[in-house]
Amino acid sequence: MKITTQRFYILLILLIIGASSCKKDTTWNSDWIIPLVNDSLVLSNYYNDTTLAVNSDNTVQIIYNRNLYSLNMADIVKMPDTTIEQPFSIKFPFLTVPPGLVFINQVEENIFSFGDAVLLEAGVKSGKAKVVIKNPVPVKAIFTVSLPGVIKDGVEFTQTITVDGGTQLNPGVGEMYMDFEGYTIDLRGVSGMSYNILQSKLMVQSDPQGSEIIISNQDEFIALVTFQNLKINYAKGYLGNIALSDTTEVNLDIFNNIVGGSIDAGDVNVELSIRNGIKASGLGKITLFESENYQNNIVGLTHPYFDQNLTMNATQGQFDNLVPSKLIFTFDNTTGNLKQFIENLGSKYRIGYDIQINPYGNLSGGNDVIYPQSRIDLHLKADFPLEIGTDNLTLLDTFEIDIKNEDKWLRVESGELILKTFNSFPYGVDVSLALLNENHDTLRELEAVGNVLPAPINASNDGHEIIEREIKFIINNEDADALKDSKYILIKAVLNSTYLTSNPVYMDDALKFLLQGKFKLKVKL
Amino acid sequence: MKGINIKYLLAATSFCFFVGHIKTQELLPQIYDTTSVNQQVVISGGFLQHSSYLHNSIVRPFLFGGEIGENDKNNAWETIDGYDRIGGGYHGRFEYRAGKQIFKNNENWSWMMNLSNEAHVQGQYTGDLFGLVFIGNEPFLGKEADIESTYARFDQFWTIGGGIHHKKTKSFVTLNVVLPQNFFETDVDGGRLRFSKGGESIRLITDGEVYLANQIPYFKGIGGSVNFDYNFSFGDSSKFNGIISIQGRNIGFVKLRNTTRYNFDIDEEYSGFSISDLTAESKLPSLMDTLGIESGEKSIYRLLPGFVQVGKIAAVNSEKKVQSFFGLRMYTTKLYRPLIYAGAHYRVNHEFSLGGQIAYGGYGGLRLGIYFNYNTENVVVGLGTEDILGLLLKKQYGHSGLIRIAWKL
Repeated sequence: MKITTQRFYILLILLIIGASSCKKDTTWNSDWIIPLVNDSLVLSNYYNDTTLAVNSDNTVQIIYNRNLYSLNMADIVKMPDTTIEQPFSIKFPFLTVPPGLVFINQVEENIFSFGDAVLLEAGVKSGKAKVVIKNPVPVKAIFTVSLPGVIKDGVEFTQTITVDGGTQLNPGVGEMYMDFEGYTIDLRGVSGMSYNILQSKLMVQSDPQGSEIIISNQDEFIALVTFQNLKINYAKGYLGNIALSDTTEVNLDIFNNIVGGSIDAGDVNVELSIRNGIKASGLGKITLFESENYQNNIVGLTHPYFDQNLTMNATQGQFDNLVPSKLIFTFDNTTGNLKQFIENLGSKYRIGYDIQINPYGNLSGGNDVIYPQSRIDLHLKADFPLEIGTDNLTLLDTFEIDIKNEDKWLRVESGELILKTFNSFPYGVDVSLALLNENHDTLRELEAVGNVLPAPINASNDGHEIIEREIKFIINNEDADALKDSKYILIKAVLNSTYLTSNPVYMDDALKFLLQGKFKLKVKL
Repeated sequence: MKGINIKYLLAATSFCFFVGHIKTQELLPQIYDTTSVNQQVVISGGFLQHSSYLHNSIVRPFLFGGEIGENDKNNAWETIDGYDRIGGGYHGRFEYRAGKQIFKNNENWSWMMNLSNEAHVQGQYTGDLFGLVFIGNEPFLGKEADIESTYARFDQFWTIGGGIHHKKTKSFVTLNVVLPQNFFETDVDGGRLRFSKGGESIRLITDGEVYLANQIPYFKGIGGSVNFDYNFSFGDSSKFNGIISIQGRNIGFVKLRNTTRYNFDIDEEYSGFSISDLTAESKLPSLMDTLGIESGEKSIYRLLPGFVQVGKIAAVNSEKKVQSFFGLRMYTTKLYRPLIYAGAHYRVNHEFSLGGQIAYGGYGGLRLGIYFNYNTENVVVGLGTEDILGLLLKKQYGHSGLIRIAWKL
């Protein structure tokens, strides 16, 4: 009996241990509806900038006003980093110098090289100079470095430093840094008739608290000046013959996502110009303006004046009142192939230019001027009603996702993505989604039920009616299984306008949307 | 700033609701043995789970695995009236009672030592919170879910200590060192979740705090506790008489070092991310930053989940075939309510005895318990449950199992 009872207990304990070690997962399902993405495209957010404007009938006008490329001439005319060693000495064989006496007061000229340019005056945007002073006499001396003609707010540049005494072989050394930001430099030299010359003046005074000394004309006081990173923002003189030729590329990333379909641009007016903001004349030429789309189809824009050297006049006015001269190339639907060019929907635009300043030499007699505001730029201006028609215009975009839909803990079993839209644009959209793996291979395509319809014009002809729609993307078990391997979600949108041409967009048009997830979640512990 | 580990939260949530290993009381009416014993080894263990409203059909998948069915979830959700309290735990205890006399003037006192590992979990939650976790938010669209006064705490710890015992009355007292292994506590003061009718937005208004034990392996702090039994007889043979036992276990406190404390006072509405949020170079702000959850380290003191039980117990040496027992038990925890119990002990023969009891209180309502006792000269084995219906029926509100084996050396 005892043995039987003990065996019973042992068996019971083993059963309990066995049961607990074989415990299955605990699972249950729950149903959730949660907002995922909530956003809107409201045109009114873009008014009053340089892109959109509203006409009197509430329709929207595109006013595109952008520099495609800009050359800052101050970055082209540069002051090179230069080191000047300037010795100063007394004019007499010997001189007895009592305490506090100024015994050297000399002005020297330093030549700057600007290549072809011959400058009379320059404004410094930024830059510094390091000055090393060497004192060969055995007593302390006070050195005052001035730069005649280098003026800021009417005050000449001056700095003073006291340098300990030394010998000819081992002079006392002092260092100081000069900041030239905001200074204007007269480069005409001591005579006022020269060019590219910076004057420097050194005054040496014996120590007022020191003792009397005797110096000779063999004692050389040296000023070593190193100009570093000087950038000018103003220059006057002859700028030299400057040739600028290049092809620049402008990317419109928004069009990168277009993979099919077409648009009708309607009546388009575009103005391309070369604007000259420096006071020097030149020649300008547009050598290339082409558009490349998603199919690598290239359309070159044509114009009767392209590829011709055209005269660019010097700018008028000065400083804040600068009025750049313009070389204007105007386009409308009757000029060249503008409509075809725009409807190519290029995402890459290449513009070639060839610009020469002073191609015929110093015709201005040294009166070329670059102001801080001076630029030479390529400018594009467009002004036309937004009434684009779309015909199966297809956009593709991918977003990175990281959904940990693992079997353990929490998992989406099935459900729907619900896209609620409130659309008042004259464009309808068919949307489809696909789950992609890390190699961008399609794992699953999510079936869409419903679409966004284009909005009709309201009865008073001053806006569109709001169309409310709901699109559902069904997530079945296989789709849910694919979520854990999905690294990207591909969104494909096909746009069709109410009409193929002339679809006015009104000021209050908007697309508001809410993407919700309606999921059956499985918890597994 | 440390993030809240979702796995930890899910695990904690599951613990809040039901745990496979449950806290025992030392019930099984201890059979009072007045025989003087020289040395004794006692091994006891058990588990308990008890709830106010939650049927076993919901709890058992947590104990034994399996899927919680739709009908069971919906029935449970409809049943919870206001708040449900649930608690449970397990314990395993080893005890050695020496026989050597330690006081010159009293030969019955000797020394003893005990070692135990225990876990205790308790939780309180609203029916709405149950609905959100198990049903989802669909039934709450256009409504507000109340999650106020949600509370959960989980303790797991070792105790080791020693003391003295009376070989004849079996009274004892031991002082113990408490070594906490795990700790989690959340206390939500106010809490509401509002869902718009179409599920377009969710608003969370809540405040409260969460404590998580530090990440140090092994022990998360230290504490001290007292265990004791004090048995004395009352009455005489001509009147109603018997033995009164006052028992205490884990009466003490624990200091939890460097717990991670999350403090929140949230009033936030979420209606989806914007496109720029999803395409921005910078990552989305963390959920904790968005909700303004502050975190920090703090050492805290907590009462141990101990209990005191006072009652009449049955005596093994009684000449009576049937003896009554009854009493009152109270845990030193926030959610436990006083439990009263009463029952009858029946001695079948010198080796076998059995009994039944009825109890009310604790984490739930009425329960029926039974036990069997096998008693030889050297071995005592007891096996029982405080909730016999709970072991058998899905529509009951708890589970319980107890075992006690003692060797007289």
